[in-house]
Amino acid sequence: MSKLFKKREYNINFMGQAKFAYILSAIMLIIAVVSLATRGLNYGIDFVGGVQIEASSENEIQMDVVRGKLSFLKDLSLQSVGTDGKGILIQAQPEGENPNALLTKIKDALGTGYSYNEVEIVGPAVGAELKYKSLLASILALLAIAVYIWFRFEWPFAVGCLLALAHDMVIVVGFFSLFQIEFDMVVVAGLLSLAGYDCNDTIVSYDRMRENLKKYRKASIVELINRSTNETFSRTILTSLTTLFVVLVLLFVGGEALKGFSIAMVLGTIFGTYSSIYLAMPLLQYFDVRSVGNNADATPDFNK
Amino acid sequence: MFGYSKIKVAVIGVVLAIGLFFALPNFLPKEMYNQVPSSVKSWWKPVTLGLDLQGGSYLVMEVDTKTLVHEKLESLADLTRSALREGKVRFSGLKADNEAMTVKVLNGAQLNDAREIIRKQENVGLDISAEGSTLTVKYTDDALSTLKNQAVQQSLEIVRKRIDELGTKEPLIQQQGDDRIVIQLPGVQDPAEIKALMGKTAKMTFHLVDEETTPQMAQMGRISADSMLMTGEETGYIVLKRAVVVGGESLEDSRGTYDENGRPAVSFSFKSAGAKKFGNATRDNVGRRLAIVLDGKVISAPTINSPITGGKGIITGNFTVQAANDLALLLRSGALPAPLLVVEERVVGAGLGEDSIKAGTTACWIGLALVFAFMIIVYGWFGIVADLVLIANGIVLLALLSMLGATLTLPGLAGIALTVGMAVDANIIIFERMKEEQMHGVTVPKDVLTRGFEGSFSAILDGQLTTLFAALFLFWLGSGPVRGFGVTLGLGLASTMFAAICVSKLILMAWLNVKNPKEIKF
Repeated sequence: MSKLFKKREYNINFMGQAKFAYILSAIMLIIAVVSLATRGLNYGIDFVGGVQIEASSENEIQMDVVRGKLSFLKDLSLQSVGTDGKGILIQAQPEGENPNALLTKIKDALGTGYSYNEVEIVGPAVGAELKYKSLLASILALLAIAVYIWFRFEWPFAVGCLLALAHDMVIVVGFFSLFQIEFDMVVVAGLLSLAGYDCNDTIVSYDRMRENLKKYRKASIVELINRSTNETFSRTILTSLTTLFVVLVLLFVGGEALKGFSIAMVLGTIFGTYSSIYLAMPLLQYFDVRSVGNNADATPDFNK
Repeated sequence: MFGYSKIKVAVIGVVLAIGLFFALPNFLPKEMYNQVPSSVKSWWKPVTLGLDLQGGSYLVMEVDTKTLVHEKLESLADLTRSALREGKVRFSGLKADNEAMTVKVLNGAQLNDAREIIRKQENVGLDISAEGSTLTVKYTDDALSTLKNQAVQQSLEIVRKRIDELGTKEPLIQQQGDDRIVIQLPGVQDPAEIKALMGKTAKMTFHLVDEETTPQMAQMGRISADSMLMTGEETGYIVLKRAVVVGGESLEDSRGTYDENGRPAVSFSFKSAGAKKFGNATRDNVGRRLAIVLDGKVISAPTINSPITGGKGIITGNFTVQAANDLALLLRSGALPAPLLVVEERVVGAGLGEDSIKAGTTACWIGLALVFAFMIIVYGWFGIVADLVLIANGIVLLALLSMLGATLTLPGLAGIALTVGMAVDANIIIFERMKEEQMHGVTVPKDVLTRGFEGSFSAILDGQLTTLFAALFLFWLGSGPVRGFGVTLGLGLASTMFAAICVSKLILMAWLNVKNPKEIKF
C-alpha cells in the first residue's frame, strides 16, 4: 500500500477545496431535486400496489400472445427476463378484481406450461401505507441520529451531520429518479442503513474535532477542522474502501433481488465519504463551535 | 493474564465458546445434523430462513369491511325490529345496506323513543340522524375500528384452524396492526386454496320455510316483516322465516360424506344445546321444509319427515366431492365474522429462493475474502488480527441469529455482508489511533496499545449507535424481509462491539506478552 497509510506525510487543505465542493454539491442537489420534481420515482409495486409475476415457460414466449391473454389486466406491462426468451415479467395494476381469485384468474388465462418463480400482489391501500411509513421512518431515523449527536456532542455537530446526511440521501434518491431505477422497500432499507453508516464517518471526524477543540484552545476553527480532517483522513478512506468492496461485490454477485439495495449502498458509500470530508466538517466553521465546545466539557466522557 | 483481568479473559472465552457452539449447526452437513435428537434440535438449530430464501407464501389479509358492516347492520335491524315492536313503536321500511340502516317511524311523536330503543341494541357507538320521520343509523368511526379489531381477533383462531385442517406445515399466523392478519406458509407455492377458504365466512343457519308466501308474492312486496326472500342454486327463489332455528356456532363436527344415493353430502352433528333446539324444531314442524342457508345462499330445503333428535344429520345439495369436503372443513372450523381479502401476497418459488441464497452467500464470502486481503496488505500482522476479530464477529453474529430464532432474509444476508465491510472499521480506527500515538512520541508498546483503544472507544461507540437507530426504524418499518434486515444489522452491531473491542484487545495483549516486542511497527 502507498505511503498514505504508512505515515502521515500529508497535510491536505480540505478547507480550501470546500468551496468547490459546495458548488459541486449544489449542482448535484439541483439535478436531484429537478429530476424528482419532473420525473418522479419509478416506484415498485411495494409502494403503488399492483401485481408482479415472474414466470418462465417451457417454450419460447410470444409476447403478443401473452398480451392478448392478459388483456383484462389494467396497465399491463410485459418484459422479457433472461436471455433464452423463456422468462417473462408481468406487471399490472388490476383494480376492482377480486384479490383472492386474481392469481388463479391470471394463471388460468396463461394456461399450462408456465412455472412461477415469484409472485407479488400488493393492495393499493397497503402500498400507500408503506410509502408513508417509509418516509416517516427515514425522517425519524435522521432526527434520532441528529438528537443523539446533539446529546453526545453539541448542536452545531448535529446540524452539520443532519445536513450532510440529508444531502447524501437526496442525491441517492435523485439518482434513482434520474435513471428511473425501480424504487422499492429494499431500496428504502438500503437508504436507512446508509444513513447509519454515513454518520459513522462523520462522527469519527467530529470525535477528533471535539478532542482537538479541547487540546488546542487558541487555534482557529478553520485550522482545527483542517487538522481533524487530515488526522482522520486515512481511516475514512480505509473504511470507505472496505465497505465499498463489499457493496460492489453485492452489486455484481448478489443477484437481481439486491440490485436496488446495492446501488443505494454503493452511491451512499461514495457520497457519504465525500460529504463527511467536504460538507459535515467545513460546515462547522459557520457555527460558534468554540463556545459551545467549552460547555461540552460538562457532558459525560465515555473515556473516563 | 496478558495485562487483562482473569475474569475478563474467562468471560470473553466463554462467550466465544458459546458462540461457536450455537453457530455450529449452520456449518454441519445436512445428513449429520439430521442425526441430532429432535429434543436438541428445538434449541440447537441453524438460522431460520425467511420465505424469500426457502420459498413459500406470504399473505396479508384484511377483514372485508363492507361485508362486515352489512352483516352487523343486518343483525342490528333484526334486533331493532323486535325491540321497536315491543316498545309499541309503529314503523315501516326497516332495511340495512353496506353503510346504514334506515327505518321510517310512522308516528312523529315516537321519533325520540325509537332513537333510544335503537341505541340500546348496540354496545358500540351509533350515529343516528333524522330526516323527516326517517332515521338513518350508521356506525361511528370509532365503532368501525372496534368492530374491525374484534373481527380480526375472532378470525385469527378460525384462520388457524382452517389452515391446520389443510395440513400445511409450520404455518405462522399473526395479527398485524389493528385489522390485518399475516399468514406465512413455508414451502407453499400456490396458496390459491387457502385464499379461497379465507374468502368465505361459512356462516350457516337453519330456517323454516314460509309456506304461506310464494316468491311471486314476496317480489310484489306482499311479504311479512318476519320473512325474507332468498335464493339458492337448487331451490330457486324461496321465502324463509327470518328466525334462526339453529346456527353454525352450535355445530360440533362436520365431515364430507355421501347420501343414500351416493351423492356427495356434508354430515353434521350439534353440541347438546343445539341438538335439543334442532330436535324440538324438527318435532314441531314435521311435514314442513327446513332450509339450510350458507353465506346468504340457500343450499337446500328438504322436508322434515320425522323429528331429528340425535342432533345429527346430513346436508345434501349440488356438491362435488371437493366442495362437500371444503364445506365440512369450513363448518367445523367455525364461521368468520366477515370474509378476509388479500391485501398483500408474495410467493417465492423454491428455485428462486435457492438462487438467492447462493448469490447472497457467494457475495458474503467474496466480500469477506477481499476485506481479509485488504486488511493484511494495509496492516500486515495487525491486519491478520483484524481478520481474526472479524471471524469471531461472524461467529457471534451467526450464533445470535440462530439462538434468538431470528429469520434470515435476503436483505438480511446483505446486512451480514455489510456488517463484514463495516466491522473492520472499528479495528481501523484503533490501529490508526495507535499510529498517531506513536507519532506523538509514545513508544512503549503497551502504552501505544492501551491509548489506541482508549482514544477510539467513544468514536466507535457513537458510530455504532447511530447505525443502531437506523436498524431500529428498519425493524419498525418493515414487514418480512426488511424487518429481517433490521434485525441482522442490529445484532451485527452488538457482535461488532464485542469482537472489535474485547477480542482484538485480548489478542493484541496476548501477543505483547508472548513476543514482547521492543516497538510496534505497522
